[in-house]
Amino acid sequence: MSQETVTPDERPGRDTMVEVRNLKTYYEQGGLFGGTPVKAVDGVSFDIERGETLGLVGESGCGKTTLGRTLLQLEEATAGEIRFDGVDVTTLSGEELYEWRQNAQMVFQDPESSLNDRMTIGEIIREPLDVHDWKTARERKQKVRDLLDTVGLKREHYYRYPHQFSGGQRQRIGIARTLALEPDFIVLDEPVSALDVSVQAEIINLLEDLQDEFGLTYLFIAHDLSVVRHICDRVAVMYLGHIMEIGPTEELFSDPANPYTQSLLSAIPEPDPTSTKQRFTLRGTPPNPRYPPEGCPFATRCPVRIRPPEYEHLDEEVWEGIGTLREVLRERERAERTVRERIGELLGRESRFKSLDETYDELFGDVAVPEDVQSVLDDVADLVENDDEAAALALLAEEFASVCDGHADGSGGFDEDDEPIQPEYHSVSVSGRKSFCHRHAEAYREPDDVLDERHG
Amino acid sequence: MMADDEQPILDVRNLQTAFFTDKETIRAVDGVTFDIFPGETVGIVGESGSGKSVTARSIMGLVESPGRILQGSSVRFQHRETVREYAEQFPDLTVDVADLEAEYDPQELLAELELSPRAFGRSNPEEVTVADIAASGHGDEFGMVDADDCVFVTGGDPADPETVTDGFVEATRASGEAQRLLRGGRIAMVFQDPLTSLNPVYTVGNQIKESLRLHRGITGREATQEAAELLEDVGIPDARRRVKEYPHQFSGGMRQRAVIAMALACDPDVLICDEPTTALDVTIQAQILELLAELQDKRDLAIMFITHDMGVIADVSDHVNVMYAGEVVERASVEPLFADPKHPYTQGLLESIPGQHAGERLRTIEGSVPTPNEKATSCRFAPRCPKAFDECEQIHPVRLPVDADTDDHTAACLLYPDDRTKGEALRSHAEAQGGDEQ
Repeated sequence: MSQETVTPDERPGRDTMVEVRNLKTYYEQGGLFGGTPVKAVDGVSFDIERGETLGLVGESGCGKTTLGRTLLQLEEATAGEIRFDGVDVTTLSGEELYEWRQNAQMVFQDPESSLNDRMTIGEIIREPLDVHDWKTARERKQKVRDLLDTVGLKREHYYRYPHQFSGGQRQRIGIARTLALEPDFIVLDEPVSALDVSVQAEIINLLEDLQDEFGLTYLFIAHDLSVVRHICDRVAVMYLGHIMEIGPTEELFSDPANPYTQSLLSAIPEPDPTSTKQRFTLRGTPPNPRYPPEGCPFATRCPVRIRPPEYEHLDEEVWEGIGTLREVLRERERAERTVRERIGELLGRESRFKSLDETYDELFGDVAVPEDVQSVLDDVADLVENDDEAAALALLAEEFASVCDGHADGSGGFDEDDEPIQPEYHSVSVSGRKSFCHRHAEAYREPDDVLDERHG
Repeated sequence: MMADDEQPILDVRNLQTAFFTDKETIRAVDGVTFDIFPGETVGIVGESGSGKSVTARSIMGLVESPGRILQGSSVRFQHRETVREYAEQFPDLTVDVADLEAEYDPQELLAELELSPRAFGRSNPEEVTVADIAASGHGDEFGMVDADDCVFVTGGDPADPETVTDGFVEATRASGEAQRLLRGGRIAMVFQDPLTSLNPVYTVGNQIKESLRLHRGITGREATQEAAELLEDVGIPDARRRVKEYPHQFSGGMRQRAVIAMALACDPDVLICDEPTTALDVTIQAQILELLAELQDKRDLAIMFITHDMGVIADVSDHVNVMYAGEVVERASVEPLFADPKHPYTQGLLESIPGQHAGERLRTIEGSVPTPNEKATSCRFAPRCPKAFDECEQIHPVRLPVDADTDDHTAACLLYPDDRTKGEALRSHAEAQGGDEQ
């Protein structure tokens, strides 16, 4: 792991409620030998202040839901600490955990599947009170009626069933259940994603009202960035188990520092047809979290990846081709071959894994490839011909990799035993916003600069 | 591909689709009229339950029992080459409109049917043609056409297809082979969830090849080659290997690309996209939108794009239809629609998007979308409308130009046309609606 010069999210003098330090949640594969774990959350650190809303955004599979669930101890943390008011909840168990859980609740995304269709609304909202044996039965019933009021439903809805309600109303029921035990901290996991825009607005207003009324602290998980911008005080942007950038909402949206944040924001279509926002489209998909890249998690798709100095002059298109080629080889390396294909290979018949001719044609057919690059590509093709994708990848890495891929700069080749270099968190504004990227270091040019040059 | 740029390639008029159950009748699509020109993207936006998807399925002929497209609906596919092809292939289903014109007077028929010209997507009785009446299903009453006639030739002699210059294929009347050639061949569709349109037990290549075999008669090695090229066209790297893989081996974005490749396999002229990016992440959505724009450019595709995301609509559309409770309540080019929305529903919809008014509470639209059970006799949005007045409960607004300066911006609201007095505006709505009952 990297030696962080800046602690990702430390802001002295605040009323901190939750402190997360170097948290990791891995999903181990079952089976005798364990296998390679899925690194859903891979070392994140941040604080949540009392009464604030921290947004957690990122693409599907980036680990945001796992992080939310781990905070509530619905998933077991693999490593790291989660301190609520100073108490590390990863060490709690039994009675202590049960007691603590009253304080931290969750609202789920899909109001269709998170409510039991066979229970009345009253029973659903009362259930947490029953489980925690809250006061007397009469008081519980009264409490549920009050909660129905609070979330904007009617008291007579007590005896109705979930199917009699619309999506927005069902989400209100889910929120009422969450509030039953008067928690201080709520994880909202995509609470409005399944709702139409006008209904979504109602639920967001409700959540804001409730926060004011009860002094709640929210972790708001979403992929809709316009909602996040509206409701959150601060935002953390996640990619492949890492927090790429974290800081105050307005600042992060209007002047993103991290290349991933920049890419994500540029991908959102604005409800304004006259918008002249510069759009650059990320290629490819996020890597498999079981096999994350060795260096920076975003290196495989980064529009401003640092390039080795000897190839700095290469055409944008050639770089694009090399990037795609690496992705193709990585996929081939992991693709399962059917029995028929294995036999075909053994018999020396042409296999769909052997040739790179067509791929080269597609990627480099229209561009002028310099000789030095071409000779590398030829060597790569030979290795693939001999079924050695791993060696082909290693060759490509050796030739074209940089610090972003975890390789020490200027060292030429790389040593298998070296620990891959990861980026560090750099402070990028006076408010203490942090970004996880090599480019903020003195030795390199800032992402903005390079972005304009390469994609302007 | 030859394109007739001067006329819409798809002309939807007074489309009505209802679902009949023991309990109730749901008029999911209730008198929708719009058109799409070649190379143009028409966006359809609305909340769930507004009838967007049923509109798409009706055009594709995918409405299943208990749903039915009602008499009076018309979906015309206007493409000269196709009309020639159909006239040649299906002489029995072909109608020479010149013959009908010699025999019938449209105004007399209109009077007899007691219908308003709006039932045929026209604003004046004089504009209604014999073809309008024959194609919309009313012609069957007069014995003008047979029940399965679906090719209407309005220019040239159908007996000699080479001479055909004008005409259309009526999608709502097409059945059997004629429908099959139209659906998938000329008009293709991309659905929201790529996994439901891909069969998990066949390789992606096989599924594209099936489409190639059915619509273009290409088989064997040639088909495999063509399938790989299609995958390459939609930006799937290493296509020759990918063609032999199964849907589960593709990522979400790649699957949607594969589905688009399947839709394009038969070189359609119209592509209907039903929320094609809703299930995808924004960075992948950006890739797919870019791809669609590229393909549209290259193939002069007419695209009908359904979504509930106002950002996507602003990004992709040339024209936008806003749907509410089965009706198109506003239609305009994309810029005026966003800059100056006229219908109170459109205004509410745009206002409720976060980020419009920093630091304020979000605006909401009270209530929820009603289910249209009966023919509308009032404004369906009135109960939720902040601008509603008494007449909104009595007159069903028709879609009229919002003022005298424009034909291109229409809204179904009694407040318009807003350059006339309220009384005049109300009268034009009431008159236009007159005789619309059936």
